[in-house]
This record gives sequence, structure tokens and C-alpha cells, in this order.
Amino acid sequence: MSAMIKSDFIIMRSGLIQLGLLCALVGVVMAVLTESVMTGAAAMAAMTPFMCLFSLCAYDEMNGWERFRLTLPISRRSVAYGRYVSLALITAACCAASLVLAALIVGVMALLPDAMAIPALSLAENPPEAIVCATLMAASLVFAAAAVALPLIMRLGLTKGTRLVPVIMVLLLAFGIWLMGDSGLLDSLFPDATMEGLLTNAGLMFGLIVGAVFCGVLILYAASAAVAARIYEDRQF
Amino acid sequence: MNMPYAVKTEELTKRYADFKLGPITLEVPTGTVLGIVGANGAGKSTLIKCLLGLVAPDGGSLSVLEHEVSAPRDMTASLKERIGVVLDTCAFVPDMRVADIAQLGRAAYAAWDQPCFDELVSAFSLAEKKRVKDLSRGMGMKLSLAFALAHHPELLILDEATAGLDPLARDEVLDMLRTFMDDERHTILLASHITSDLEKLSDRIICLDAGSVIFDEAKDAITNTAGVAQLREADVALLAESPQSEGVLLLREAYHTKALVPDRFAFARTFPNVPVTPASVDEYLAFRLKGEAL
Repeated sequence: MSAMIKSDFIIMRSGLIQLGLLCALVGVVMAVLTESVMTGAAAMAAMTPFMCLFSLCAYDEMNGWERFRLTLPISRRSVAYGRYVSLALITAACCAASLVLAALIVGVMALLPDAMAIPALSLAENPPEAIVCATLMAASLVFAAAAVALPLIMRLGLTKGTRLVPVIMVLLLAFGIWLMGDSGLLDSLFPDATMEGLLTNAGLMFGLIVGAVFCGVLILYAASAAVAARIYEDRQF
Repeated sequence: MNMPYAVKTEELTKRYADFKLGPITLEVPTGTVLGIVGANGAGKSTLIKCLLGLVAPDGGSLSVLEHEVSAPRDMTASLKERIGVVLDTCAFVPDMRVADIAQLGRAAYAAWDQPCFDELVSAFSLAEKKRVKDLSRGMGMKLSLAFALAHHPELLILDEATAGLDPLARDEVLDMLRTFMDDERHTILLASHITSDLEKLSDRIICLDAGSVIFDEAKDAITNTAGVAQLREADVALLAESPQSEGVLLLREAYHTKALVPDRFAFARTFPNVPVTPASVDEYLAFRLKGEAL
């Protein structure tokens, strides 16, 4: 499996840095425009792995690379599991980078004169626990979406798979809104919980739920990897 | 002692909605070069896909380097370690540089030989910083060949590997393949439209057409023993009545008839006044695909 992971990183090496910088820029812009460091951090943590995933899958279809890769001494199971591990590593790195980005934004705001600083981007308005929670939620979104998309892509390839992926993504989004949106399930269970109120009892419970969701999504991701490996073993090229 | 086979198939079949390959029975002894020839869509690539475990055969049996392969999952990493592959296009990601491909080889193959790859890349004048997308088709094929040879495979499977190469580069590649065959443990399967390449390299040639084997002959039987005779109508009648008529195929043209004779020496003894020349693989192919029996 390590050969597959190395192969993904060799292919993405230059693209990964470009995508990371681009997403960091988008994260900063989003943080400033929405006046929320959490939004900026979450945007970076979610966008970069998504873009990397679709770039890797697009590369698979170029020049018959995916077919040729199967002639290398990498088993089909290793190809499937390796892709999941590559994405997990990229997501973990992006989460770490987004926390660094959040710290930089907050740090820069603290250094700026009052007239130039945006108060909403200060540490007081963006507690570290809330930023970690937002990043975890972004990672959960990446893993949940990949858990749905990757088996389809492994079975059908990116071109055909992406015809189905948006349909499932929209359904997931609707589920997310039902779960976490205004008047959603979590809102009705914990009406007083806010990101800023994480240190209150209700907020702590919200944080625990975010953690539980993240763990649940990781289990889903692992199950999806097992399904994708099984599917990929029988795919005809 | 049983002769080891690099590839052996028995009644191998693969069905698609509009195409059926086989049944194909094939034996490729270790230390030989098998040329596979056939028109587009004849089944060459499907056969190679079966051999590489890219598709699952629907019937029959297949063994590669003495390992049974009945499904793609049987093509284990350790078995693939012993096979070098060059497909009909340079299959690396377009943004990869030549140096990245060396890194990929190091990551994938336990037996990766970096000095060997460097030597081949240098012999092919491939710059390390060059990206795959900037290589011509010929250079791309050379890169694929360097990658395939740099892990010292026992079996080399080449699908149209010399296509797109200029004649000098093709000779260079063929020399490299001949050097590869200096080791008697090595075997090559070479599918190509370029019959002159097969003629130069192969020990045996099989021809596929519409998924079936049209012929499976030792190359010497084609290019040394068989011949093409230029016949007049009177010669055709004489030939039809002679014992030499067995196995003869005719191609009728506007002003004369050409005949493929299985043994040109025996033919020349019987018909000393009829000109007969050694057959090329191209001519043999044309007769076997379009010729009519006498």
C-alpha cells in the first residue's frame, strides 16, 4: 500500500502546494468577508482535500494511467486502500494547516492597530475550541463525501462516477441541513449551543457531538474503503 | 524436465457484448519471443489485458510465469514484480517529470535498478526535468521501455511499443530487446502492427483476427521455408494437380496469381521455371487472411 500512497504524493507533489496556497488564500478571503476565522479555517480544511481527491481521480484517467498502475506490483486492494489513506493524510495535513492559518489570522489581527483590525477576527470572538470544532466538522464533511464518492469512482471511474456523485452530495447536504441547520435536529436538541458558547455545558455537549460525528464519519470512511476495495478487485479495465 | 512456460493459455475466452476473444490455446516457452499480429480490433489488446489481469477471462485457463491467473486478484504484487509492461501509449501522468517516474519505480519495485534506469534514460536522450506531456510519442514510448526494463523483469509484454518511433529509434529499441533476450530466462510478448519488427525479433508469430487465432507458426517456417510464387493461369492448373498443392493459398490479381507455398524449396524442385521468393510476414498475413485455398 505504501507504493500506492507514494505514487499519489509523487503525482500530486507540485499540485498539492499550489492547491494548498490557493485554498489558504480563499480561507483568508472567506474569514475576512464572513468575519469568522472558523469559516476560513473550515473552508481551507474542506476545500483542499476535495480538490486533491478530484485531481488524483482525474489524473487516473489520463493516458490510461489507472490501467497501467495495475501492472505495477501493487495489488488492487492496495490501490483502493492506498487512495483512502492518501486522502486521510492530505485531510489531516490540511486540518493542521488550517489551524495554523487561523492562528495567523488571529495573530495578525492582534498586531494590527485598532483602526485596521477586524474585531470579529480576534481571539476573543474565535475561541480555539470553536476553531478546532469547525475544522473537525470540515474534515467530517470531506470524509463523508469521500466515503460516498470513492466507491462510485472506483467502480465507474471519475467521468461516469461524477454523474452520480453530485446527486448523492445534494442528498448529503440536505441531510446535513436537517441535522445541523437552523431549526435542525441539533438546534432543537441544544437550542442555546453556539460555537462561542462551547465552554458552557450545552456548548460542551455540542463539542462532544461534533467529536462523535467525526468518529462516526471515520467509521463510515473505513467501511467505504472496504467496500471500494471489494468493488475495485472485480473491475474490468 | 518439463519446459517452463512464461505464458500458457488453454481454451482462453473473453466475451464482450459485441466481441469474443478465443478460445485461445497458447504456449510461450521461457526464453522465446512471441509476436502477436492482427488488425485493429482483432483481439491483441484483449489478450494482453487477460495476461496482465486487467480483465477476468470468461473461460479456459491462463498461467503467467507458472502462476494460475483466473481472476484479476490472482495477479499478485510479487507476480507483477516479475513482469515489465509497455502499453500502446506512454501511460504516465502528463505532469510527471522523468525524475518523478524514477521515484515511482523506486517506490513500486523491490528490484528497481536506478543506475540501469539512468543509463537507459541517458541512452534515449531523455532529460530528467522533462515532463511527460512535453515528450513526443516516440520519446514517451522510450521512457515506458526504460521504466519496464529497469526492474529486470523476466517477462516483457509490449503492446505496439515500437509504434510512433522513427526507423533509427525502432532499431535502437529492437537492439535493446535483443540484449534483453540474451538472458535465457527472459521472454517477450510483442503485439505489433509493424510486421518487420516481428520479423526481426520473434521466434514465433501468432495472428489474431476477429478474436480467433488464424495461425500460430514458427517465424522461420514463415520467412525461411514458406514462399510466394508468381503463377500464370497454366501454372495454377498444373499446381492444382501436383502433390505440392497441399496448403497452398492463392491471391488472384489483375494479370497474375500469387501463391503462398508452405515449402518454397520443394516447390522450386517441382516447378523450376516458376519464380518463388521467400515470404515476408506481411505477405504471409495477407494470404492467411484473404487467400483462397487451391
